[in-house]
Amino acid sequence: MPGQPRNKQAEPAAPAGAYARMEDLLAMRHRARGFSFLPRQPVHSLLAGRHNSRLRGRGLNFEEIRRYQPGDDIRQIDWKVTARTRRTHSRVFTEERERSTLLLVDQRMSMFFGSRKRMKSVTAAEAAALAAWRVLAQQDRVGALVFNDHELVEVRPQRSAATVMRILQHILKQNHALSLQAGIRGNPGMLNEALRHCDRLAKHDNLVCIISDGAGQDEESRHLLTRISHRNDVLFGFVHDPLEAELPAAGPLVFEAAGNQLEVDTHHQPLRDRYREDFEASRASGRHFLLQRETPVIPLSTDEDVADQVRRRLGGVRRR
Amino acid sequence: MSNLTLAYPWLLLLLPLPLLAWWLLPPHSEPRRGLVVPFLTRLARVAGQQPGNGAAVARGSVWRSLVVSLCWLCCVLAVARPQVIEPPVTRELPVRDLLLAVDLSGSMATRDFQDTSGETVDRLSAVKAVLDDFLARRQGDRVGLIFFGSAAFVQAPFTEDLQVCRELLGEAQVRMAGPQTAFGDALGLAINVFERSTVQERVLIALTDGNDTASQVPPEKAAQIAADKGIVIHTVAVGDPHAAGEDALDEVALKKVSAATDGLYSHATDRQQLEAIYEQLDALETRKVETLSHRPRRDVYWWPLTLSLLVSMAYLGTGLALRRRLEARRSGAATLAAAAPMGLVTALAQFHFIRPLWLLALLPALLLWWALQRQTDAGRAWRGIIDPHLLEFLWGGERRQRRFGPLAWIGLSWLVLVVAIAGPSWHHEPSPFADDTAALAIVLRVAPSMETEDVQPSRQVRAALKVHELLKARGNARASLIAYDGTAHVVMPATGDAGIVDNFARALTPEVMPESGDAAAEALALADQTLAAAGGGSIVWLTDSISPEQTTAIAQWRKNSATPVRLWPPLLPGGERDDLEAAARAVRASVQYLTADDSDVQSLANAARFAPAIATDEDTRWAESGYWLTPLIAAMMLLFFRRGWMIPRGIGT
Repeated sequence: MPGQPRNKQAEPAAPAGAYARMEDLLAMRHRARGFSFLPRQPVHSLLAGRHNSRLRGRGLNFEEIRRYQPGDDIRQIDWKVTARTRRTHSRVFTEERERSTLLLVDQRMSMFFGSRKRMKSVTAAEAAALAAWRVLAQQDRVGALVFNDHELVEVRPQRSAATVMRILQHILKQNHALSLQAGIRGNPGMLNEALRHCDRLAKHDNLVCIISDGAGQDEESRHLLTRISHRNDVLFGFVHDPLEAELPAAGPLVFEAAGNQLEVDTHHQPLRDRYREDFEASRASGRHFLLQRETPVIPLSTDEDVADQVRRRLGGVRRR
Repeated sequence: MSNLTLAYPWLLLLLPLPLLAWWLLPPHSEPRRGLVVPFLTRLARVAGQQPGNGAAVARGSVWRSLVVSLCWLCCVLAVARPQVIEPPVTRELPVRDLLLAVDLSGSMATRDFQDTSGETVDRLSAVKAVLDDFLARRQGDRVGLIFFGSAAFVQAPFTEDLQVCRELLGEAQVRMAGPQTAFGDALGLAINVFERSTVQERVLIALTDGNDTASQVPPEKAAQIAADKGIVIHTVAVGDPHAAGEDALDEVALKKVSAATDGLYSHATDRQQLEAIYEQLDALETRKVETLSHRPRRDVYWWPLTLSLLVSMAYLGTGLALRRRLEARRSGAATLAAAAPMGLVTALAQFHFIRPLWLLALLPALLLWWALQRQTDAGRAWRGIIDPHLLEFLWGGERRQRRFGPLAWIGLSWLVLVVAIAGPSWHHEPSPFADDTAALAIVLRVAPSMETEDVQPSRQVRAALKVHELLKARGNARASLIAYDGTAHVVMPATGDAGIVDNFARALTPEVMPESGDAAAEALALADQTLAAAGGGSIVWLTDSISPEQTTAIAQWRKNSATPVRLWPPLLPGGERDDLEAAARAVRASVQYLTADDSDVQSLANAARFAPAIATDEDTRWAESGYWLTPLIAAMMLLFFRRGWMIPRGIGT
């Protein structure tokens, strides 16, 4: 809706694409189908196969007995096996009804960008809504850490639609606060802050969904992520924009950030190649790092429907 | 073009000025609209560029500096005011003085003359016919007029204004100068008049019936003296050679006179002989013409200006077109050669342009400017890449967008350039031999009261002196002289020969006026007539009083006439002057007091110049006023030498 006033407070007037709208987030409830965070995954799901993690949890179906790892619930220690082998072993069950899901929703300024259809921040909000509704539909508890450049809001995991609504409201509030005119200073450190908080919050066997563009990730974030993934299942929803991946050949373009301008001649083929390769490389390294920690990555592009993308990655062939 | 000169060549010293501008002015950085992206640092790293603080100081190409330099050169040339010196306009100055002595004795009333149509007319009419024909051929000579009867007097001193001569001649009446014929005296007067002339070729044509009756000097004697002085006397006999008695024609005496001075004798009816006289005048005394040449200078400042306009437009236009081609964008943008609506030109007719068609150049300039404006909009580049509903939230640096950048500047420069080239003009160029100022009728009261010597030396003399000054200040502008007392007379119809008016003004004394009284209204009416003949003008009125009974007549005149009147009383401040002013209120005259210096003369001369002149010569040229825009253009152009001050090149399309 071009030409509309930039009214970031009045929710009904918020232009679609630029800002998330409550009705869209609510509509996600009905679209949160065709995929699952549960262990039984469709063949084409990211979560299926050798190298992918099986989502673990407490439940009735016995999976295996393995060496005790720090963080395992001591109630799951199989004392008999432990006594026999003189090494601590614990039982692992699949299917856990009471598993909490924690959503890390990034709404920082770096997310306030998009070249097609919607902003990254909107994509993240929709993805978070999708996940929240899905988790709720699975009768699991859902909580969230919604953060922007200067604040971090925590919603304790609970199994209720009201909690989901609270999460969505926090996301919306932060989403609508995003504006270039507001003079918000980017704070890359907020990602680590959120991860730290998550580390404290998600003790074990949680599903942690990080929905972010990964801006500001550094050694510490990797460390934190490693720790979190040790005890929890982590899903990384990598929000990105096509323009971040590839520059169009459109002649000289002026880019700007924080008052700095850069004029780049996009007709320059080697430059465009370098740019693409750079993005691919950093993405590949991130993916590699995350996969080592059994963390699947779901790329979420701004120019496609979020539910479709998630379903494609997690749902395999569309059912129904 | 050898006739091309610069009026102010020293202004070419301005040429190095751009160096100063380049050196002293702070560099201009053009803020651009950028898209705020989160990945700028990464992009900068990949591109190997350092992000700048917004705008960069643009660096022009060699072509640009060439074009700007060329434009500057043109501008400075225009400021130096190039002028084409046109072929000289010459004006002939007569060097030969002709004096016509016309007999007005009683015998001239005799009706014994057959004119060309065979009718019998009186001799004076015959003389007038002959002289009319004669004067028509004497263009370029100075002609004086002597009338003689019982006495001889100069009716018109030497003047180039032959029209006035003919008019004065037309007013001649038989017995105006007494009934007798003082032919000898007339010759003597002619000799006197010639004494004062500086010209070598002196010719007197005497038209008479030759029967000298009242001369103190016999004609033969006078002719001898004239011969000694080098004066050639042609005699033209008027009358019936066969008549007898008092009015008889004394052919013998006339022949003697002409023979004594190597002149010719002719009879007025004798066409051949008259032709011979004319031929002799033309052939023997070859027309001595002094030429006064004036080479008008025509301002051509607009030539270099046009060049700079075209060059700058061509440069920016081709740059634009090339970029268009390069990017192979959709074609069908505005073509520069748009049809010119003529309405634009006619609408501007009220404000005069010498070359209004050049205003059409505004059209392509506007189009080009618009195209430039579009392509310099850096945001446009993003429109295809970013969805519009997102783009509006992603603009950065918009607040820093300056309103008045180089683009606006060049648009303004083009506007001024085109206006200057079109040649705005609001006044005529003064003609080199200026007589295009409005005519002036001098109404002078010649009455005994004017003899009063409260103003030194007397009111009359002071008035004459002031008239002299005024005529001098007005140069060749046309002036007429009306004298009045009890009656009003046109002493001199409007003429460009100030000298003759001056002469008459000095010669006026109360004694020559036939009646005493006050005929002010009549005089003003006469003045109006002379002005009407001269194409309009104003009246200067010199009088010391207006009698109360004239006020109504004057008011009546005022009703019918809109001619501006300026009252110039030769009076000292006091009751008399106040009374006069009060009486003059009916004429709605502005009053100019007498001053000791010539400030009154100057102000009157200035005022008279701008009187509503009705007729203007078609051949006068409009003065080029556009030149005065060139310094402005040069100043504007100077800014383009400021570092970074250039049309932002299109950021993608």
